[in-house]
Parts: sequence; C-alpha cells; structure tokens
Amino acid sequence: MKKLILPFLLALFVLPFESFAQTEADRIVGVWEPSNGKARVKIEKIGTKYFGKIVWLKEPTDPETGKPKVDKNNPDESLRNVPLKGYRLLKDFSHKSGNEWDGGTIYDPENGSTYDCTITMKDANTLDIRGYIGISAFGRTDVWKRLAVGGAK
Amino acid sequence: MKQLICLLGLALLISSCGSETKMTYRISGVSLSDTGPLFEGPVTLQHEFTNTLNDSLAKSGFKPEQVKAVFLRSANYTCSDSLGFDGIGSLVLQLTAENANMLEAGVINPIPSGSKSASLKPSVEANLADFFKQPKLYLITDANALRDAERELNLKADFEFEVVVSQ
Repeated sequence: MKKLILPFLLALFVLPFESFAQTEADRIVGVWEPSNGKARVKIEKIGTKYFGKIVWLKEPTDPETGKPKVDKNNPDESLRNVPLKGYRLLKDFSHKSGNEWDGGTIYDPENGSTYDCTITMKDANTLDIRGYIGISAFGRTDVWKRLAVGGAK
Repeated sequence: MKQLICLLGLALLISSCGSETKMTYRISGVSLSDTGPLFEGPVTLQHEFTNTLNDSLAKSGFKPEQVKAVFLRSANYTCSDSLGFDGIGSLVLQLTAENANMLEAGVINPIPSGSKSASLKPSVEANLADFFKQPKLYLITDANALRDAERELNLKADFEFEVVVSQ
C-alpha cells in the first residue's frame, strides 16, 4: 500500500505544478509582429528552448537583385545566401520565471549584428524585446504584438 | 507533425597531421518528414540525435576534452517523393542543444528546379564542437516552401563532420 502512496502524491501535487510551469513558459509560442511592421516572427520551442523565425516579410524581394532577400550581412560570408524568410532572429531563450525569458540573442539582419536579449511578456498579446550589449541597462526595447489567429500569412 | 525515423550509420575515419588528428564522423540515413500540407514559408524538420561521438572517440583512444573543433563537411539530402524538391526553394541546416547556442551549419539556395537531391554548402566558420559535447543535440533543417502545396515532404539526409582532435 505504501508503495502506491508516493506515486499517488506525485501525481496529485508535483505533476500538475510541472504541467503548469510548462504551460506558463509556452505562452510565448505564437506569431508576433515587431513595431516596424516589416516582418512577422514565429516563436516555437525546440527541446527546452525557444526560437523565433521570420515567417513573413513586408518586402520579401531585394530591390537590388530582384530576388528573395538573403542574409547578405552575415559575418560568416559562407552563409550570406541563407534566405531571410525562415531566418531565426531569436535564438536560445529559456523561461526564467513569470513573464520573463532570457539567455537568448536577437539578430539584426540589417547590420549583421547579434545582441543579448531578454523578452518580457507585458500581457498575453504584447512582448517587450530588449536587445543589449553586455549589460541590459544599455540597450533598446521594441514592442512586439501577437498576431491574431487568421492574421498571419 | 514532424516525425522522424532515424537509421544511423556512423563511421569514424582517422588521419593525423602534426599535433592534430582529423577524423570523419558520419550520421547517415536520417529520415525527416512533414505530413503536410505545406504552407508557404519555412517548414522546420527536426531530428533529435543521441550523441555517439564520444563512444567513437574512445574506441580510437581519444577523450572528449581533446576535441578542438568540429566542422560540417557535407550535408546531402534526397527527396524520394515524386515531386522531389519541386516548390522547395532552399534548405538550411542548424544545430542546437540544451547547453549550446544554435548555429547555422550550411545552406543551399536556390535548389535547382527538378532536383531529387540537394547538397548544402557548409559554413567555413561554424565550429560545432560545443554541440558534440552534449549527450543530445538537434539537427534542424528548414525547408523553404515557395508556395502552399498539398503534399508531404519526406527527406533522407546524410551528414559528414570533420572532427579535429589534439594529440
């Protein structure tokens, strides 16, 4: 009988808490639009971390080449042919606690720079994306809005 | 949605040069699939790989801490579907793991029309050693669908890595 009690207690108290923590962390999953409206970024989970890839571009074609935009500013020259559509701007975020995800980076394809980044969920449909170098005090915050279902291309 | 069945064939070939030894490490017969339909944009195909490099190193008398660098040397994909890579514009390979940050390892863009196979151009800078220090890593392939399509996507992939080990 005693052997049955421990699994029962685990199921009753511990597993629901883990499930809740998982659900809380996964709130960030979805399609988001930065304030400039130039792109839409889908945040998804791979393993235990969160990543955001470009799924839509307002201007998908490079006016210089007439072809789909590529990551032409990538510091690694051998990767400058990677399409921007599909590119993972947000990488390696972990859920810290509550409304914060950190430990990740954000990439700016316009200059090929990568910045440390924290994400704060202000409400269910709003993210503060703060990119910085070194310490968070010196950085810039952009507000991203969740795209309503049916609004994503 | 993305179910992966993996048949692994691993090989470790060794060549020495000065204080370094270069080995070839292969991950073969990886199956990647998306049941479709495909929507325009990136389709992520994920393969969770249990790392066996350390076992292969041990058989050759090396320890994991002797690994200085790991570079992708080739990544070859075949699509056995009747449509081949029709409607797929590009493939990008990325690696990630619990305690290592994601890196792009190779790309082909565009994929020539009518192709049934595609070989990535490996990154010359991406040192993947940190991933192969982890017990588990993820090989992430993004296939860029050029348009919506009522089709599945079934790929086979073979990866070859160069492992640089200090003596």
